[in-house]
This record gives sequence, C-alpha cells and structure tokens, in this order.
Amino acid sequence: MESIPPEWNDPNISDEDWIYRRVLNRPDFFTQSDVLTGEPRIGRNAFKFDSDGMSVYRHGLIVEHRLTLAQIRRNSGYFLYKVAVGTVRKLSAGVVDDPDTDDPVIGIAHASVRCELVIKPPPAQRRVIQEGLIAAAQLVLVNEPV
Amino acid sequence: MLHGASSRRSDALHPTVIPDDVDCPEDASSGVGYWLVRTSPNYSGLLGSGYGSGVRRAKDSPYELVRYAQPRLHALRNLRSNWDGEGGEAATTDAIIAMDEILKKVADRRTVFPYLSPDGEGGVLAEWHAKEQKIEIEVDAVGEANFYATDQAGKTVLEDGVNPTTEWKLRRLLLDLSARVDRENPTWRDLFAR
Repeated sequence: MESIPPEWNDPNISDEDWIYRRVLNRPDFFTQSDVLTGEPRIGRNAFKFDSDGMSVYRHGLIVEHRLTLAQIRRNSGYFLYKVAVGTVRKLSAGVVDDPDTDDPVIGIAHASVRCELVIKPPPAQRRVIQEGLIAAAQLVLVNEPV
Repeated sequence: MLHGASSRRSDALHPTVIPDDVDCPEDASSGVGYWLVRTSPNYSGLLGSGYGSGVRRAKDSPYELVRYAQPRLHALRNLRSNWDGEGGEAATTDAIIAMDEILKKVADRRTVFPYLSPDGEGGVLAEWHAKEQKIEIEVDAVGEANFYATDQAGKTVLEDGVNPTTEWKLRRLLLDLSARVDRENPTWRDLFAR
C-alpha cells in the first residue's frame, strides 16, 4: 500500500473498515430485478461516480463522531448499503476521507471512493468498480447498532 | 414504399407498420432484413406529437418496448435538480433522444424491457441483467452512446461505440437474451408492472 497516494486511497483507513452508500429508493430507478430469475438487484448508477469521486460515508468516522446509521440514511427515501474498504481496494479503487462542509450534521463522516490519477475513472473501469461494489453491497437496517 | 404513410397515427407510441406479407429488402448497412425503411424517429415523436417517419414490419415493431420506455425517459428528463440529494441533474434532451433512437433501432416486439436510470450528470443508462449475461446502453449528456454486453458466462462480448456493426451486434445479443428470458421466465413483464 506504500505506493498509493493518500489523496485517492488513504493507507490509514483499514481494509476492515466499511463504507456506506445511500441509494435512492423513490423514484425506483435503482431498484431493479434480474430479468431471468426475478431476483432484486441494484442498478449500476446507484453507485455512480461524481467528478470528485463516489460519495460514501465511512464507518470509522460515524463511530468516532457518534452518528447513527439513521442519520446517514437521512430518510426512508433511501436504502443504505455497506461495503468493506478492502473490497473497494480489490477493485483497484481507494477510499479517502472527504468531509462535506455543506452538511453540518453528517458531513464530517463523508468519504469518497476514487481511482488513482483520474478520481472518476473511464467508463470501462468505472463499470468494473460499480459492478464489484454492487455485488458486494449489503443492505443495512438503520436501527441496527453502529 | 411508404405503405403506412396514409394511415400513420398521430399517437407517438404507434409507429406505422407494414404487414408481414410485404417483402422486406436487406438493410445495406447491417446485412439483416429487418428494416423496410430505417426508422428515423424525431424528438417530436418522443414528445407525443408524431412518431417521425418510422415504417417497420409489423412483426418487428418495437411498439411495446417504446410504450414502456418513452414515459420513463420523459420522467428522467423532467427530474428536478438535485433529485438524488447529491446534486444530480436531469437527463438532457440530447441523451433522451439518443437513447430513444437506439432503442427503436435495436429492439423489436420480442425485446425484454430494460431498466432505465439517470447517471446524475445528464446521461441515461439502459440495463438488462440475466444472471451473468448483461447488456447495457450508456448515453452521456451530449448523446454519445456506448454499448456493453457479456455472454452467459459473464465474458465481455461487446464494448464499443455506436456504428452499424455494433448496432447489429447489439440487436442480435438483445434478441438472444430476450429469447432466453421469454423461454425461462415467460412472466418477465410482471417485473415491470409498477
């Protein structure tokens, strides 16, 4: 991990830490089904990259600042999914803390998933990361303890 | 040979169709004979005032998929700013037109519906997932499109921009996926009944 620049992948963040991604459930763009099996799945754009990376919240920061998962989810219009930081790294992406100063409540726990040099990767690489995260994502019940 | 011109309906969702017993010439650009006249839908069609000059054989009409997709594309174009709470933007008109045109080109009456979602930056994504088999049409905010597909083993079989060859490939892949889905999950339409 020594060779990874901290601006896209902070080596001080453990592989065992988690990131949380909020996914809109209304409208239901991202609540999809496998057309063969009918099993629910998450649409790829639910894990979209913005120009400064993919917006997530980091578990370690949530605990440190005594926030709750209900606060991170905001309201019932969202699902909350979690993925291990180690999974992000296996997909050749990284995690950095990225406080959202516009959000005085939970912005302190904000982090970003980024890629080396590009932050927002080109379409083919982006697809691999998004699909990998979707495959690993676990739905979080917001009333479970942090 | 615009057989249907005089009977063209004003409803955007009812393209003019040609009966099955009318000969259909080979399409020069793709090598397949599914076009009588290449459909050239326009944005007025998407808006509901007409379907453009689309003329297709009845058995190949993507009417059902178009009827499914157009209101959803409308909705993506009309999203409010910051619809996702993360600064998301509505799909652009260019993206919607491009997706609409591609769907009409590559789909027919057998095509399973796609899931359509915004990318938050003005683009639109159409996705089909059937276990390991995936097909995607990704259109960005300026209307530039890319195709991506895997086979049933998850191996990438198409990853390219739009041209007559890739359109033909995508059409074949969609046909294969749709035939498989229709065979193994004939009630697939229920997934979209919402």
